[in-house]
Amino acid sequence: MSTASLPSGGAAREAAIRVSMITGGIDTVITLGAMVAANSAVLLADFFKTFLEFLAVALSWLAIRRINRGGGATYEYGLGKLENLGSLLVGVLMTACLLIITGNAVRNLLHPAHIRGLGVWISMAAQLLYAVINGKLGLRGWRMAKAEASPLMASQARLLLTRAVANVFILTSLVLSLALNRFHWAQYIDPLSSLVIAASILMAALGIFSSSVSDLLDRTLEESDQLVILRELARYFDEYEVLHGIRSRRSGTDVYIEILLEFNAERKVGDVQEAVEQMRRRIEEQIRGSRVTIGLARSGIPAA
Amino acid sequence: MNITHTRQDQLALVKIEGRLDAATAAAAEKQLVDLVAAGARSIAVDGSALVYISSAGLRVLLSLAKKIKAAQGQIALGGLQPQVKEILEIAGFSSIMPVYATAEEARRACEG
Repeated sequence: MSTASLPSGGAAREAAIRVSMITGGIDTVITLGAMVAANSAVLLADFFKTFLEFLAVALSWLAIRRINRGGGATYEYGLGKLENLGSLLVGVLMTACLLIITGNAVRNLLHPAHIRGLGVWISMAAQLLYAVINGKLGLRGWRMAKAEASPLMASQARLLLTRAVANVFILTSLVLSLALNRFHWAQYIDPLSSLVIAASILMAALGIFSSSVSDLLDRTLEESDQLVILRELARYFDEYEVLHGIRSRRSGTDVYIEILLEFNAERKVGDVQEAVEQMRRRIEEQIRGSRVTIGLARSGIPAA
Repeated sequence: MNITHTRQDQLALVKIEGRLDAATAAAAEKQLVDLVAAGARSIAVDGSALVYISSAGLRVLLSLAKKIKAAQGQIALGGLQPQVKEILEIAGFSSIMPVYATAEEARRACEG
């Protein structure tokens, strides 16, 4: 399938992540150069972080390519869990990054030294440039994630905005370290700054873990959506005889709801179907991305 | 969560205390279903000590209302705390089970 024939939303998401991946690749090379040409703890941590982020974006790009090209008949329930798995892996990579930054910062706190070298200047120029780029891409991704309710896009937007903040923070840290290098205590700015970056990554990783794991474990819908279902069951209270159960789960952007109702066996099938259809339509209208299945049960014999 | 009840012939006065949520719904449903199975045709619920109700708790009330309807009895709620009453109204339950200001009013409604 050519890119032009993809759904516009999917093509736009793929293009946005591809741009992020290319940007991340260039950023990785620059941070590697800066790290080699300097003795900064922040720059060493920045290289590992940037490299891991690049891998995460590349993985997401592969996942979204699979979604756009491979779905269809093979995965009849959609590829929502693939999005969740992609987000989860981003979280794992961020955790690894966090450990590297923290370990490096502790080592430099124990053996402090003033930062120096050409790499510091290369990094300052790069941080300024990438703060602008990551900020713009992150805001665009965030708007798309909100419009499409996509956990993958949300995790990417969080990643880009985290990177933009980290760029500004590293730039500030480097400027202060250089400007205040006549003071002994200024040696601690560099490792302490890297710990602050580690804390921000920890928050982002925790957010990704909590949302992705819950969806992968088929967590039921939020209370607000459950109330919508119950409101419709109350509205059609006189139509059915017994409520046998309600089950719901999320899969990426899709929501699956199953309601098992028992109707009076003497009612006409057409009347029952009409009531069921109305109920189903009303719930699907109110819960975004939902697919409602209403199973019918006869007295004492639950439906399969 | 704690459920206590007193019987007046076919009318049961049920007091629900604490939280009626996913953790307590199954136990509450069993107690209430047993009550109907034991011959209670109408149930007046004293909700004055019910501090929270979730969607799982609402399902219990919905199932109970169905059983009471099948028994051609009455169900009424009374003395609800404002936050519980609000959830019931959002879920549209006031159309299937009348809500009264006090438990005593709910009891009288069930007797009538």
